[in-house]
Amino acid sequence: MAKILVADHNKCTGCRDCELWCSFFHLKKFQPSLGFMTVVSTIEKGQYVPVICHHCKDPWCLNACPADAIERDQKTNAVKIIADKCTGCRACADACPFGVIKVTDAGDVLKCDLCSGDPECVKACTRLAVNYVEPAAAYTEKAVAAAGRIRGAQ
Amino acid sequence: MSYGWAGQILRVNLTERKVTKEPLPRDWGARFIGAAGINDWILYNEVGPEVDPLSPENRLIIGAGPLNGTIVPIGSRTSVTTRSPLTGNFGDANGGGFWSSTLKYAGYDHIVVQGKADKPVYLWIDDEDVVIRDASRLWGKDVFETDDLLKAELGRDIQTAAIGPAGENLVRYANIMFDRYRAAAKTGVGCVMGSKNLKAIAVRGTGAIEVADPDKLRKYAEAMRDSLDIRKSKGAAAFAKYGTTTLVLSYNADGCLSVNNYQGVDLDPQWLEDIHPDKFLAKYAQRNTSCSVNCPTHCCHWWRIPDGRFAGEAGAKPEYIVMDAMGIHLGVRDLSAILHFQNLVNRMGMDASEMGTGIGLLMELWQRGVITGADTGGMTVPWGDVDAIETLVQQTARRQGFGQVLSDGTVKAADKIGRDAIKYVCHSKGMTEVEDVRAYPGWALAYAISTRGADHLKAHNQIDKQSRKDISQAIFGAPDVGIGNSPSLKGKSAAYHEDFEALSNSLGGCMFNWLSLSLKYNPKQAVQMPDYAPVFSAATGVELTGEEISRCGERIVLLEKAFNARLGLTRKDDTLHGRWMNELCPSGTGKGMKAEDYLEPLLDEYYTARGFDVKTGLPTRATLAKAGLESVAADLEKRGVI
Repeated sequence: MAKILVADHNKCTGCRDCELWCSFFHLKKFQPSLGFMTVVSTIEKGQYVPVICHHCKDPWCLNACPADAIERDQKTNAVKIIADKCTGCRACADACPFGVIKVTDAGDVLKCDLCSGDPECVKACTRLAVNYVEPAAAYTEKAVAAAGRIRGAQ
Repeated sequence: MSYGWAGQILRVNLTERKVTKEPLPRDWGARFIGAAGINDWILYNEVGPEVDPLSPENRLIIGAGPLNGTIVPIGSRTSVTTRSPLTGNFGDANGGGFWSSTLKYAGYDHIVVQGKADKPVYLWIDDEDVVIRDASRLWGKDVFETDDLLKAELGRDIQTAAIGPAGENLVRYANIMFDRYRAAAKTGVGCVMGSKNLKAIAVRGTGAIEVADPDKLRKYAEAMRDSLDIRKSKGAAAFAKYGTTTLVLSYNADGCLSVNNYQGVDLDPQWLEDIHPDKFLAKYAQRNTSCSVNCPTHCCHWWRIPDGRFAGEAGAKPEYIVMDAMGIHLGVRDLSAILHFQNLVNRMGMDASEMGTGIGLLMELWQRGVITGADTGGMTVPWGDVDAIETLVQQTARRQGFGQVLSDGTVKAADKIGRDAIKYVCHSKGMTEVEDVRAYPGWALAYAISTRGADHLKAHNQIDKQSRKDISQAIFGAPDVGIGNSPSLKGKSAAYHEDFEALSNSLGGCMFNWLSLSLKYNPKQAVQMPDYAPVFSAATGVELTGEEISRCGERIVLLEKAFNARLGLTRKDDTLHGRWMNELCPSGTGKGMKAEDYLEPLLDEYYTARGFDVKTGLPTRATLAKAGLESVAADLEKRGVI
C-alpha cells in the first residue's frame, strides 16, 4: 500500500525546517518561500499549521492541467509534475485549494513529489508533525491523544 | 555570487532619509565571520569615543550570521550592536526569532542605522524594495500592538523588529523585540533605536541563500542535527521539554538563584513547588514552539493561564531569566504572575533583568525602611507585591510617577535615591544581572570581564555547571574547570569561553544548540571552536582551518575590548560591585564564598591567557597585531591608550 503524507497541527512548533530542507533538496539552495509546503504561523495565538500537498485522490491540479503534465506515481502515490510536458501555464496552481504549488521567478511550476518516496520534510521534522505513513494507521496516534484529553490523563 | 552570506549591508541614514546598499566585503567575513563579529568591526570603525550613545552619530548595527537561514542546526539569531546608553560602553544584545533568516532571504546580512528621523518612522524591507515610512500611528503602541498593526498593513508573511513604550521613552535598558516574543534585551539597544525615532523594522524575504558546497554542508548539518535531535537524543528531548525553566531547578541546587534581591541563593521547598517547571508544564504550557528556523530543539513554550486574576492570558516562553528577575528576585511565588510579567516586559520592550534588579532594589530598600511612602508617592513595595510590580513596570516604561526612578537603570536609580542604596546593587560596568555568581568563580570572573557589563552569556562556562571534569581534562589538561566552586583554572577558561561565545554569536547561532546541549548530553566529547570550521567553509566557500576560526573568536573579543579601552576602561573596570563581591554566599555548595576573595588572581590569570598587560588589563600591541588587528593597535597607540 502506498503511503500518504499527513500533517499533525498539534505537534507543529513552527520551526519551518520542513520548508527549508524541502527547498534545499529540490533547488540546492535555501528558499523556504519555494518549499512545497507552507507553515502558516499565527504567533499571537501560538498556532502553526503546516499546509502540505495532500496528493489528493482526485487531484485538482491533475484535473486542471491542459497539457497532461501531471501524473500519479503508482509506487509512491505522488501526484507529480512531468517537467518535460509542463508548459508553465499555472492552471494547476490556480486550481489547487491549498496554495502549495509554487512558481519560480523564472516561471517554472514546482510541486511536491514526495522526494521519490523518502520525503525530506518528514526526515527534517524532529517533532513528528509531518509523517509519511500507511493510510489506515495515519490518524491512530491522534485518537490516542484525544482519548488522553477526554479522560484527563496522558 | 555570495555563499552563506546574503552579501549586502543595508545602510539607513534617517537624518537624510536615505537607504543605500553596500556589498559585504568578503574579507570581513573571513576575519569577523558575521552577525556580532562584523557588527563589532563596523562599530569600532564608525563610532569613536566622542560619539554620545543617544546622539544621531551613534550606530544601531543589526546583523545575521552566515549560517542563519540554512539547515545548519544552530538556530538563527540576530545580534544588535551599539554604544550602550545604559553603561556608556560597548553594548550588544542577541535575540532569536525568524527575523534574521528573513532578512537574509530578503538579501541582507547587516543593517547599519545612523542619524535620527525628524518624526517617528519605520523601515519596510520588502525584498529588494526598502523604504522609510511614517510611524506616527504606531508610536505609543506596545510591541504586540505594533506587530499586529504592521501585519494588518503589510501582510502576515512579514517579521517585525520593534520597540515598545520603553524604547520610545528612552528607558536606558529598552530592548528590541523580534517577532513579538524574542528579545535582544541587553544594554539598551531599544533605547538607541528610540533615540533615532525608529519604531520598527518590518521585513519580507522570499529570496534564496546559496551555499558553496551543498553536499558537504548537508553531511555536516545532518551529523550536527543528530546530537540535538529530540528523536535521537534523550538529553536534547529533556531540555526541549522544559526549556530554560529547567535552570530554576539546577540553579536552586547549585545555589545561584537570586532570592529577594540577592539575599538568598536558593528557594524554600514550598516556593520551589509553587513555581516548579513541572507545574508550569502541567498547568500552563500548551505546546512547544520554535524560536527560529534551523533549530531542531524547540525549547520555547506557548502557555495559557487557566484561572485566577490573569485567567485567559497567553504568551510565549517563559525563560529562566524572567522566572528569576521578575519572580524569585522579587519574592513572587505566583507562577501565573511571573508569566504575566514575561508578557508585560515584552510588551513594554525592556530588559527583564535590569527591570527586575531595579524593582528588587526598591523592595529591599522598603524592607529596610530606607525608603517609605514619602519616597514612593504612597505606593507600598513589599516583597512579592504583584500590583506594585505591575505599576512600577508601567511607570518605568513611560517615565511616569515614582517608577521613573528606575528608567535610567538600577545603578543610576541607587545614585538618585542616595542613602547608600548602591550597596544593595550587584553590577559590573553599570549593568546588573540576577544570576548569583558568588559561589562560582568562573561565572563571577565572566561577569567582571564581560565587555557589556554583568552578564552570563559573554563567557558562558558550561563545563563547571555541568561538572564535566572530563571535558576540562581534555581541553585544559586538568579537571578543575569542571569543579564549579573552585577558582582553579577559571581565568584561562574564561578566555576560552569568551572566544567561543563570540564565534557562536558571529555565526548567528544559539549557544544552547551544539555548545551547551552537546556538552551536556554527549558523554564522549564537547564541541569545540575548530569543529565549526568545516561547516563554515562548506557554507561560505571561505576556507578556514580550525585554528583560524578559533582565532576569529579571539579577534572579535579583542575588538570589543579595544572599543572599551578607547573609552578609557581598564583593569579597574573589570570587577564586580555589591554583595557578589563582599558578602558571604548564604547557603548552598558555595556557602561562605565571595568574589573579592578570589577575583584578583583570576584576573591576572585571565589577562595572561589573553596576552594582555596584567597591570592595566589592556590588550597589548603585540596581541592585537598577532590577531590581525594592526589598524586597531595603531588607533589605540595614536590615542595613547596603549
